[in-house]
Amino acid sequence: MIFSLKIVDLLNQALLYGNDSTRVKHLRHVQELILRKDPSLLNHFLEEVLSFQTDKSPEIKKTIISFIEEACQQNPKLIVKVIDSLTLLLHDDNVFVQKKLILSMVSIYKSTLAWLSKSESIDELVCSVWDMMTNIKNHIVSILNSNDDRLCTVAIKFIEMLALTLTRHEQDFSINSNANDNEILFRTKLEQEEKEMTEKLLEFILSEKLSSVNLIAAVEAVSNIARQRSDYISRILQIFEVLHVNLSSNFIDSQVSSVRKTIKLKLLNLLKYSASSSIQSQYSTLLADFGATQAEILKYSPKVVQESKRKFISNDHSENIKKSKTMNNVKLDIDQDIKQEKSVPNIIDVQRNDLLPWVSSTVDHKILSTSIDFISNSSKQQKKIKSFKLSNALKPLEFNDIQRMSLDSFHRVLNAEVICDGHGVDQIRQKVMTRLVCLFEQSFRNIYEDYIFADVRERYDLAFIWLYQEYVYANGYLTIFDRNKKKNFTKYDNILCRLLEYFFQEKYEDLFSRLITSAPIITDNALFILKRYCQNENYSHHGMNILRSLIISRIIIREKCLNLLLILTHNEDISIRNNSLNVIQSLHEKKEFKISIEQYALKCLSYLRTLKPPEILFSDNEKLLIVPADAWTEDSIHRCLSLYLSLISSSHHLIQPLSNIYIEVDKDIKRVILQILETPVRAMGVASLELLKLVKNCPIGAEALITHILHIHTQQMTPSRDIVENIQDLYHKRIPDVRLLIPILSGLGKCDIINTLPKFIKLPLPMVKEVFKRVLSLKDSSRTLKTNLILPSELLIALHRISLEECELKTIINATSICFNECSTYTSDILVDVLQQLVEMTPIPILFMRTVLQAFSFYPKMVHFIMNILQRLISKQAWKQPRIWEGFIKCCEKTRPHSYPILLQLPPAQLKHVLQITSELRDGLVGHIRSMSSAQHSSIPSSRSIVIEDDSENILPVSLSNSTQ
Amino acid sequence: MPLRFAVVCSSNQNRSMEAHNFMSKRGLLVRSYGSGQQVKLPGPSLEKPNVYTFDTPYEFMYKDLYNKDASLYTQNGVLHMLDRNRRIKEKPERFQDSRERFDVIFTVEERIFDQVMEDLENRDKRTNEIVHVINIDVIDNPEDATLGAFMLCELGQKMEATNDLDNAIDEILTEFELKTKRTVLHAVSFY
Repeated sequence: MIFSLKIVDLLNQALLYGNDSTRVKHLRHVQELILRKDPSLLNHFLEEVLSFQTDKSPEIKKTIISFIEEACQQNPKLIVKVIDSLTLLLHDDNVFVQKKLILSMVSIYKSTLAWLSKSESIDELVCSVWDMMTNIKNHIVSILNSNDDRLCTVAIKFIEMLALTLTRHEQDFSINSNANDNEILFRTKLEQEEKEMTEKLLEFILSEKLSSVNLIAAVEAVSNIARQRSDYISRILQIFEVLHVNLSSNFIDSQVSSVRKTIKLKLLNLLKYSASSSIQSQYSTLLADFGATQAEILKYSPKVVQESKRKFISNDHSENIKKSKTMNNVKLDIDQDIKQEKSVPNIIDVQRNDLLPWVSSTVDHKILSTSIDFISNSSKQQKKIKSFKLSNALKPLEFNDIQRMSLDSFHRVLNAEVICDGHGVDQIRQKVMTRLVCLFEQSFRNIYEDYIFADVRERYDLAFIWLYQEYVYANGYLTIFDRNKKKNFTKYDNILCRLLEYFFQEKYEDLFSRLITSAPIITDNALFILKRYCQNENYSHHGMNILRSLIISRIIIREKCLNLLLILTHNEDISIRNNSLNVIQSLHEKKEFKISIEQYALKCLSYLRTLKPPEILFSDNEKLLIVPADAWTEDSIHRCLSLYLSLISSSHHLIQPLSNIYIEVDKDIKRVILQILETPVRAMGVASLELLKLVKNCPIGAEALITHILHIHTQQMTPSRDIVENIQDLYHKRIPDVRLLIPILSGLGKCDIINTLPKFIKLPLPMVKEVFKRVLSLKDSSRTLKTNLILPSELLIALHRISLEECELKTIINATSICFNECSTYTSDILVDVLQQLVEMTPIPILFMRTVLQAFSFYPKMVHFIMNILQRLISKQAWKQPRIWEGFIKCCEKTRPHSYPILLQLPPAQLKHVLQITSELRDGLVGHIRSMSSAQHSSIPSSRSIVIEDDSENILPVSLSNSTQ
Repeated sequence: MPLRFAVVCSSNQNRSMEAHNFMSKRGLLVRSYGSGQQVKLPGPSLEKPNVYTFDTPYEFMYKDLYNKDASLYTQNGVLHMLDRNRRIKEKPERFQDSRERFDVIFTVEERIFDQVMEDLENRDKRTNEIVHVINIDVIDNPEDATLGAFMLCELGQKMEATNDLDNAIDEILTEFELKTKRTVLHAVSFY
């Protein structure tokens, strides 16, 4: 009652007083009271309100129209009562009234259609109402063809509604009624009409007379149609193509660009909804025609899952706020739908479709469950309850149910692979899945993992997307409000490691490397897995390459990776060690890694100083398996040195610290060092300045090392002048060790060598041999000067000339016998030369006769030459040198019977002496004389034959006395 | 019925607020918005802008920047601008979060125009009321903002003066283009 009094009052005021805006205010108030506060009053006051339609003011008329619109939405049956007013107002003089009416007709027509489709009984009245409706409709449609631009825009919206609603309505109709047709609405006819309407719009777009505003409105209308009726897409693309060509002839520049811009935006928007790839190329060309860039096309293409990005992101950003907002929206939607009394299930369907992306993107137990719950509840209760309250419809679900439902839905998404693929929404599915997995706890994760691992080759990209998603969450990129939330990478780390572990175990090498190289962050645990990967002999090569690319491309973890790689250089497995060394060597060539690698190498080197191998040298497995060794073994020494040695050949300066280390280590290590030094040092080359420096600064105790290094170098080639000088310097000033000179023998002058010869031959026998070998091998070297050449004969002569003060005889003998043993060098010719020179010396060297004897034993054919020598000795009165004389006699003995003629040339005293010493000679000599011819016999001086014959009697005592001496 | 105007720039600070100020003084019904993700104000260097969320009051930003570096922000005019803004309304508003309806929406950059169009496109359609979205490029600095505000205001007054905007808008915009030599983007959308 209170309301009705108030309404009467307001209506009176609106009728009588005030200007337009106050009256409109009053009428609005009435509308509020009747339609929202007490709908039962509607019947009572409808006539009064409708009477305002004849008011003069267009504003009042417009208010009445909106009143009718709202009333019809609440109760479609009212159309029967208001249809006359509508017809009247449609033909009003004022264009704004007409506009408003047409706009309102959009919803009135819709609600009437829905009502008619469901009403069971159609009486005459209804039929006539429908006829009038149809008239109104026809009138509005005809506006398109009229010349009146002003109403066109709204007419377009009306036609768009027709094109979209008739089919929608038709679906409701078939759902809600058993019959296909009812008395007014015929399915086929409606379908037909819908097509006509669409055609009309399309035709309209291409007509020439329309304004740019109307064109834009029409473009919007057809795009909306295309969005919901995909059959039209290709048709509409054609239309746009024509527009593209014709536009500029009909409009001025800025209008053209506005229209083009609109079409571009609409096309991009449509792109989201067009899953079919058949028209893709046509689409892209068209978009390009309208000025869309490739980036824009990509952004909107369904394949890149950018669909309704705004929605997704905003939902994520402000999840909580959005949730409530969206829920409110849903509530509003439903409220409105109830008022319209549209067919409920269909709307719910639509709602559900609209909600789907949202539901799946903002997954949260509660929202997921409540919204489903809410939808199902609301659909049940729609018909009974008029005033709908969300809170009444919501009941909390059991936790188990929530769990089950969410799992079920997740499984459904998982199983929809084929379907989604076929419809071009695979990307969306992937996105939904990864989001779900990221947001939910362990349960989803395991399922998802199993799902991916079931067919890793096909699904590894899911794993990658998942990992990236976790990264994004961990970084907090998707939250606005928790910007300060601490970054937490545990989950990310966990997943990365599990994936890596799996690829490792199941031998997917390519996936392993792809994952680790493309992971946004490589955690320590992941590095640890990589380490194990590298330590596996099957993968070590592959693993090292991964490490290498990580070192080069990932600056943040570069140090860690490099360190890891360096640690591998002393791995227990030699092939792994070599692999890592290869990689290190290639990295070492790059400036940025050089220093750290070298530092590490030197650190390893310095481990050798410690009493026992440090733990760091052993890999983790080893530490577990065996107790670290207490002493150095060859293997552990090798490990310390391997990296260092591999670097020396390219970085010569590294050689310097070696000498210091060398001094400090014990002899086993020294031995190993010398052993393995050869190859790298050889690679350094003899010309290295660093080597020279090392020689120059050689610390005490490292001579062996230096000698060894030099030795390695000089085995094949002549040492450089610098080195020779340095070594000589070292030898003379600091270390009088002759061994130092051996490697540089080939660089020393002839005099130097000969002067040092006494010292050389004091060395152990093998070394002497080596020295001789080197001295003599100089011959072949073309680089040595002629004057520096030491011929074998010269060497032997030099040996003979060594005085006994300098050297013991025995040493010299040993040295000469080394020469004799070198048959290939000391041929008979050379010996002849040597002997000839020696015999001319005065005094004759002590060893001379020994040498003669040796020569004879090696080369018996030389006997004639030796006879010459003996003859020469006689002429030089060899008996004056006791040792030579002794040798002479021995020689005569050895060279029987050739020596007999020589003996005969001896002066009698000497001959007597000889014969006294050896009886064998005398017998031989006697025989020799007897066998001579008488002529020869007579040539023997008588003094000598007397000696022979005299002595032949008492030969025994003499020989006895001699042998006892 | 007076027309309902909206002016949208990216942060709802300079260009849109200048126009808001101008147009409301001339008696137009106007609201202003930003379309970006956050409110960005110049900072000590180009790489370090001051970033706020859209629900931060101008008052707060004013005090915040005053405390950070009063002389810098006085010198570059940011404090002056915030001072003006806090007299107009409490805090910036984001266009995408508002459900207000308008007859004309002005944007000051093509990018913002696109954002507005996309947002309107994605809204639920209810009433089919027409809305004109008009872009006129305005550079984001105080001087150009003033100039832009002046132009928008003049355009708004012309629109207000017509009887039937939908019909006259083409003419108004063409005339405007000729006069100012600026390009105008114009599209319609529906609520």
